[in-house]
Amino acid sequence: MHVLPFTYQPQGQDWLRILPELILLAAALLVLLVDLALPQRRKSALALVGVAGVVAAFVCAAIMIGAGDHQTAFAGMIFSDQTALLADLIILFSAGLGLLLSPGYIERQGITQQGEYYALLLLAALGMMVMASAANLMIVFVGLEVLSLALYVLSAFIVARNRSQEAGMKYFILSSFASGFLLYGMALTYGATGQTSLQGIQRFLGGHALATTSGFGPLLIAGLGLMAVGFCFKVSAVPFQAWTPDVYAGAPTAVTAFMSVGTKVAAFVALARVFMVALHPVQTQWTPILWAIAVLTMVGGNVLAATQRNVKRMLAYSSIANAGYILVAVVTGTQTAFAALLVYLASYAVMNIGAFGVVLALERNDGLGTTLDDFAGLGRRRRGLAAAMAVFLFSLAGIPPLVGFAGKYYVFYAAIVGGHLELAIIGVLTSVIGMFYYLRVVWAMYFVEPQPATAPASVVVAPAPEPVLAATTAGTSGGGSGGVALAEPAIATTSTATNTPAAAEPLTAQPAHVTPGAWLALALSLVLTIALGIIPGGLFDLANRAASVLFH
Amino acid sequence: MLNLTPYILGLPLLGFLVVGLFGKRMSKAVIGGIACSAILLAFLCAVADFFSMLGQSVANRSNDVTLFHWVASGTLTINFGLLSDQLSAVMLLIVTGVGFLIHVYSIGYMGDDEGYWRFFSFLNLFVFAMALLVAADNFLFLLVGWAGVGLASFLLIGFWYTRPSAVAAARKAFVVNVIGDFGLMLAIFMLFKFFHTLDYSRIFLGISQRNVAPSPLPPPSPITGDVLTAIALLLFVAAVAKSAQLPLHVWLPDAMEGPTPVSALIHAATMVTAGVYLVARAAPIFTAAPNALVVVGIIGGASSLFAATIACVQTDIKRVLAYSTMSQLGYMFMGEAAGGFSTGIFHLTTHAYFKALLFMCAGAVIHALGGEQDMRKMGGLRSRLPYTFWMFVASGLALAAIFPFAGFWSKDAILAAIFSTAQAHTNPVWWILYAVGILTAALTGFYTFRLIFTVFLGSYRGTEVPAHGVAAVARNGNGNGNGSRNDPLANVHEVGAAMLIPMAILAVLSIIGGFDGIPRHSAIGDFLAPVLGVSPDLSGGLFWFSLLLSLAAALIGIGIAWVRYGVRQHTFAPARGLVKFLERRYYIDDLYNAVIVVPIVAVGNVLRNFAEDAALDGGSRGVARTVGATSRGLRRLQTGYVRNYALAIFVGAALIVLFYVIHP
Repeated sequence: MHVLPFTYQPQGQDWLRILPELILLAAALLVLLVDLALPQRRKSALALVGVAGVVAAFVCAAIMIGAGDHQTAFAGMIFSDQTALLADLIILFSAGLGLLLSPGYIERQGITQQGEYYALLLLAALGMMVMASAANLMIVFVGLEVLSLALYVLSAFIVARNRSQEAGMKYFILSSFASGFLLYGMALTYGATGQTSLQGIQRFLGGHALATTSGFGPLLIAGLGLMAVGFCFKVSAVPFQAWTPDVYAGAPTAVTAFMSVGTKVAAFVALARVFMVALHPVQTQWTPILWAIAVLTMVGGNVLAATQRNVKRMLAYSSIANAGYILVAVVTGTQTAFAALLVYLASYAVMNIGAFGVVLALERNDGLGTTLDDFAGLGRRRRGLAAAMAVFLFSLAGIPPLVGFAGKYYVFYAAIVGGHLELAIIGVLTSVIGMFYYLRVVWAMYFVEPQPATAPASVVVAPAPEPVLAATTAGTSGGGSGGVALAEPAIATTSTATNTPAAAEPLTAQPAHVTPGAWLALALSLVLTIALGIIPGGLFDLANRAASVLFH
Repeated sequence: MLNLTPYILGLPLLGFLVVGLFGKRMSKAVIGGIACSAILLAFLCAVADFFSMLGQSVANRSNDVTLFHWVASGTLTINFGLLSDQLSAVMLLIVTGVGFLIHVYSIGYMGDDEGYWRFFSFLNLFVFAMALLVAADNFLFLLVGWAGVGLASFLLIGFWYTRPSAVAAARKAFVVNVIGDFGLMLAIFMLFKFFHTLDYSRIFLGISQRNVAPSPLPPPSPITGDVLTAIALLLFVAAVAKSAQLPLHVWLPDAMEGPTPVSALIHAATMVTAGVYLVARAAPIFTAAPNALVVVGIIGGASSLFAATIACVQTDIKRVLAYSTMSQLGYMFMGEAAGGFSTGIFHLTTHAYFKALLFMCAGAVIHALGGEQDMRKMGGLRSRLPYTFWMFVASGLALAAIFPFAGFWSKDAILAAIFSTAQAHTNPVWWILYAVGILTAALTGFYTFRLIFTVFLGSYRGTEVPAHGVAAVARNGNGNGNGSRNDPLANVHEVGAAMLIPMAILAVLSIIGGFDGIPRHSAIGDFLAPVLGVSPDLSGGLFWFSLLLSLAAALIGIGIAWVRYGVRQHTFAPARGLVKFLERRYYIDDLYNAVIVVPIVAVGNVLRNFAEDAALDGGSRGVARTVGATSRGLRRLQTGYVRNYALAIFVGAALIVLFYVIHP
């Protein structure tokens, strides 16, 4: 029944069940078409086309949550259940905000190929939605590749900036490498169970008591181990996280904002479907490794973030740390934990896009302007931006009554109830480190005087980029060989790399550009960060219903 | 039935947000307009609700709306629900109605204060918090409003935050109130433990069908009378702190540091009435715990007498009124303890009228004298402040419970309830409480008219020429008026219309506001009866006896005041003996200071000097250094080279494989 026969004839309702995906696909194609007709200076209208498509798909998914039939489509290949639709909503929310943040920003960064940019962004969101809805290992992989291919290109989209190019290349190579693990794992799982359908795998494993000595045992173990590697790469769990800071810091900030959230939602929902549901009968086999990865991720992500002075990079590390908290829910493996995972993903989406949105508003054309020194005194220079950033950071730090607290609370609650008290304790302790680096930005914004300009603006225009170059070369030589690849400045040069540009260039020389769209995006995330934190009931209900369907 | 309760809450909240966020850039007229109209509209909503409720049959007058599900966790489900019943309707009318008048009065009183916008946003917040407190349909949101009231009072008492005394008073109020909050929280925990819900209706249902669990889960142990007594006493701890009863009364006199409209608001409409409301709201719990009711009565009676004795010797005009509030609240608690929950609420309403007016009159005097609050430096103000004088007299007669002023009816209802309970019970405590009530009535008459005679009659005793205006209050100085030396009161004149009109309205209410509670035809008693039960009452000769006894007591008190302060100029000698003991407020503040504050500060100093630096700071610095060092070390792994990253992935995969090879 869960095998797609060659002669399968799709029914009308099959198409209806993937309507949000179809709308998004149509929007992406429409963007490409409209792009041909628009003159260069009117290109930002493309964002509106994209946003319209996203909104349409969002509304459609929201209606389907209430009114859809929540069945699988295309002979059990793809889910249209509440989990898929809730994931769709989160992904579409982040895609919509990514689009709203883009117009002014990508023009500032000298991106001319706007048609491709918006189309790729929509296609990445499409891939994410497919991955989160997948009911079959093959569809998981298809979704993963669709989203990854689009994101490789998007990461490298700022042609004039080496770091962006480097980010795209790194992401491409490492992600392909990890995809190999994932695909191999899927193949072995298929070999062990004879199934690629998630429900089929669950039924097969439920029916056979797993004996490691019997024929399929080692195959399955190897398969789930390799799949864990592939998924953990995508969700940037330690020790598969190394690409994350470099790619997130190098990619255009609007793309980072979108992908830091969207990829996580897609990959985590797929991971949860595969491990928490399909592989549930062999939970004892995969729990130890995911447990270790979760602990490593929480500790590593938080510890590494603690010394970052570049806020964009700090947020990249924070996304690693957050992956650790979500992994706690995966390891716990109960129905409550699944609901907690969905709640956490939603809360993370809301606040993280907002935080990246503020960084984006402050980023200068040369890609600088996002260090702690640039945030100094922001509370006086840009009151609105600083206040919004403070709310997002407080939420990320998990302070009630903001949404970040609701997410953390639910995940740790699920862990304690599900018998993983130790993970909850580690999670809370590492969150304390999180407080440090999140609140340090708030401290900088409100309690640090901005460094005064030492030279008149006209003099520094030419020399300004130099210190950056110096930092890169210094770091490179520290690494021991040539090439531009060095995203993490060496320790010795940190102070010069971060301080010199700030001191040399008056901070107010280039005021932050915030387009109306970006304001709208910030306002949306701000309102949701506060509102969902105070009244999380609706979100909890939605997630609980989604989880109860999956766990019967 | 019309239910506009969400708007009654929403409008002050909106006003708070708008004025609080944008008030700095608004003109004073706009600020005052927004803040007052928010409360006025809320009041009109409350009035509409009230009349719509009157149009319903008695059985249909309770209406519970759930605005949204707030949180659900296990068996705990909490909704943000608003209960509109007779009790909350009366409370909302008082809170918004008297609150509105105080807002209008503040326009005049605070006219030249720099923190105008801050003041009005806080006032709106205060009204919002109080409205939430009385409109919530469960104990948790009651606690939210409860804490909100505490916060707003903190902000307003410390409004002139450049004065150290104001800051200290605000802190004191907050700390003492937190003790009460703690009691309320413990009560809530116990309620949840035994009833598995925090909704009033389900808890009260659970009490009425004792031992029949109202929820699917059985209680951990049967709900015994002891449990209910414990819950009731914990609730009463909260009420004691908020309503300034013994022994947690110490914050109320100090709260006079706030601007006078704040005092009016705290004493009349919003803050201190919360405790009386809480006991009335939890009437089913208290009724089921008779021992707790005795405690309520004793505390109420003791506070009532205690405060009245202190009020007799105070020389600060606002402190006299502050202690009178404490005394009157004691009456309300006595009435509630005697089973007359509706008499307590009735007295709460009449007290709101005349106490708000008393504070407004006192504010007018202080305003006119440029910030002077010492009665010994006043006198002879009757000719300069004629309206204020007559309104002061009207409210004073209401406070002293003279026929037919508002306070007469409500105080009489309370005394009748105590008398009737004393007849029905063998416990002698009720007779003692009745005697306390009569004695306090005499004292009330005395201190009220001591105040009026001292301030308005005789001749002016001040040495300085008063400067006009509240700005002088804010600067905490008397300023320099330029009036003639011959007539030190030349500068003193009646306050403006913005202050006089609300005062006039309250004066009317102080006179007629008690007619809704005429004995045996008590409209308010009948109205509240479905929620609070029927108050015990007297009949026949005893009724007249009690009524005339209390009236006679009050008249005797006034008479003594007339002899001592009215007919001739009283010279205030330095206090000695008993007077000194009373003036020092029974040395209770000093006792608390010596027993609680000083040791805590000493321990704090020791900890700061010895424990904090080495142990705590050292420890946290050590942790920070460790994390920092680890972080810097780990950063070296982040080389930026794809080959290293790929290696990390590969090592990770290898470790997983290794785990499965080693692990069976």
